[in-house]
Amino acid sequence: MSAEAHPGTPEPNHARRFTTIWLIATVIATPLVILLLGPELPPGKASAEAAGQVTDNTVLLGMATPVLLLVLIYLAYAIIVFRQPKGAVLEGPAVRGDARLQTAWIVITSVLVLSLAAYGTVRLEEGNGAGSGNGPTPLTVPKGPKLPVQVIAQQWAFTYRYPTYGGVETTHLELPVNQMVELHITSIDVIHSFWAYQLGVKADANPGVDNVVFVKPTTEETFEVHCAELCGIWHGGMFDHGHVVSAGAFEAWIRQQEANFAPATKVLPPYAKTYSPEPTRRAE
Amino acid sequence: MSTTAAAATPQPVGRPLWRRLIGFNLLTAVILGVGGYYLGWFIGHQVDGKSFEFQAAIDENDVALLLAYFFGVVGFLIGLGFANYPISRLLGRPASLREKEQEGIGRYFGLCTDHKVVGIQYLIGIGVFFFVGGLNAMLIRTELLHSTPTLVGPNQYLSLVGMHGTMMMGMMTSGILGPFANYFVPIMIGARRMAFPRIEALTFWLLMAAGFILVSTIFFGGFPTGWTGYEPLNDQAVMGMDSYICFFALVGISMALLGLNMMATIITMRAPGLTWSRLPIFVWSVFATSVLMVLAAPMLIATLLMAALDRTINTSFFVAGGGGSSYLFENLFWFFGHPEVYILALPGFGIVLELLPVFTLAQMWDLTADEMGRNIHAHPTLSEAIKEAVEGIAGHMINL
Repeated sequence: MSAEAHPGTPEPNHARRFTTIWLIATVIATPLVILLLGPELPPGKASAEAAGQVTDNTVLLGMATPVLLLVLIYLAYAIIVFRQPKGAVLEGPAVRGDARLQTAWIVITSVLVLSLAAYGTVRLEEGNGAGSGNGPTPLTVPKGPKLPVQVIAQQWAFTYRYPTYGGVETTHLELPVNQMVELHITSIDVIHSFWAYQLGVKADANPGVDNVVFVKPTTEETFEVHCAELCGIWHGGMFDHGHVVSAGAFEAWIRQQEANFAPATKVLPPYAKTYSPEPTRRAE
Repeated sequence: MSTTAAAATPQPVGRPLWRRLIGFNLLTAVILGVGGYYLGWFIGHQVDGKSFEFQAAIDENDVALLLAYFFGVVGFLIGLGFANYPISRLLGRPASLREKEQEGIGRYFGLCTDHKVVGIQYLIGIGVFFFVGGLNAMLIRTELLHSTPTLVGPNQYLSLVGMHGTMMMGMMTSGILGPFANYFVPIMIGARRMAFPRIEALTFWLLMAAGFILVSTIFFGGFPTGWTGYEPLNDQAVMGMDSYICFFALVGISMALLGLNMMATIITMRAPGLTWSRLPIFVWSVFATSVLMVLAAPMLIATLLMAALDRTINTSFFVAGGGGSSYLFENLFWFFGHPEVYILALPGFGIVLELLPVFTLAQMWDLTADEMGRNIHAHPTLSEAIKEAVEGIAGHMINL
């Protein structure tokens, strides 16, 4: 198809032809991706923060679609149109440097990436730190009443303390629906990561650090809890299910836990932001 | 064998085999390495103190193992002949630029300052450890055939994962720069040798010693941390962790020296008329990678030294209970870890950019490589900043 193969036919305007193909594909594909694939993206809509993360994933995918199409369509176009004619070994044209193309390339890439970085930074703060934890002193704190729950990670289990319910420490996590929860995540030995998948929470549990996360569950459902930081041989076993239940059911459950664990609660250390047990000695 | 054939190929007249085995060669290196290992092990056990009592109680001695590795590596290098040059210079003998650059297969098994020989050594040596790392991966997959422990137990499995990751990351950081840059850069810039040929050989043999040290972790219980070695799991782990620390520190030293050597060579030893703008794109990519290596690797060495001090003399850089911070290790480690991504990728880009023009039968733009070169240099710094930002988003958004 090239000019050398058919000396009679003039070379078509490749730039315009390619741009047209790419624009049409983008206009068709991007809305399809956003509308059809967007709602299926992780981590679901079990909490306000998780729903926000689905939105963020949709934005990322929507911005990535034109770029991916550009690369793939250019590859296909080059393979089909610029193929070496059979039997001929031709020198490629002596292409000279093109400052405009290079500048455009660098500027567009930088703008795309930096705007995504700005968007991500804003959303990280808006998302109440659910995606990573906001550290001990969050920049923004959501208004309204909050239920404080402490997540204590250790090798190889998570336990949960409810300071407003006598500091009881439970072995499972239950949360009331439509109530802003203030999670204080810490560890008493090595680094773990508290990952409540459907709630959109994934925050590191560091020893000696109080990592604060706000999350508001919006549907009554069961969610998975994993450890997401390699923490020793039973890392894979740090797995549990938590439940989001109605306010009444939560009240009943936590009262029952208080009664069940009353003897244990008495001997627990008083509720604190972090706990420093005696340095654990190494053992096989 | 007929008599005529024997007459046609006369045996090289030389010293008997037993005499040739004595000297500075690989055999001596291994013997001195093993000797150094036991010397360090012995000295380590003489170190005593209140804070070491618990180590004796569980039959673990990190001081002894780290000293053993240290003296082992020193002995290995002396055996190869790395001490000869400094000592002869101290004694006032004249400087020599070349060592062991004789003909024959033997030069591949010892200290050799020929950059092409070192390139081949790197290719084969790293290839062997690449194979070991791949073997670990196959063992991981084999174990995963069934959901319950069958082939290896959970502890061994975790060690396999760590060994695989560490071997791949540690060895492959020099995986392109080691073989290809050592071989091709002097040729491409019209130099007869590297700027520091002895250091060039040293980077290779340090890497080989490091590889054996990492594999030796299986004798000391393995390590549970994966390739990142996060604290305080690192501090909690058994003696096998010291193998990891020693391995990565040696890799770091090798990387820093390799990078410095490349930079010095490319800056000072270009042929007359080979200006920066005429430099081949591969050399540009090697130069960019070398800058990154020199910036990143010392951070890794320092971090691991701190980890080793935590494990041996009970400092608490990374132990929250003693006032340290587990974040500190993560941050220091990734000062090395993030540039490492580009250290791995950039030389590959350079090779691809050399090959593409050949197969497309088209010149690279102007072939000045000037613009591309500038891009490659903008890349590490700019991309560092961008990547930090992007990772913030990614960690937040992609909860997979």
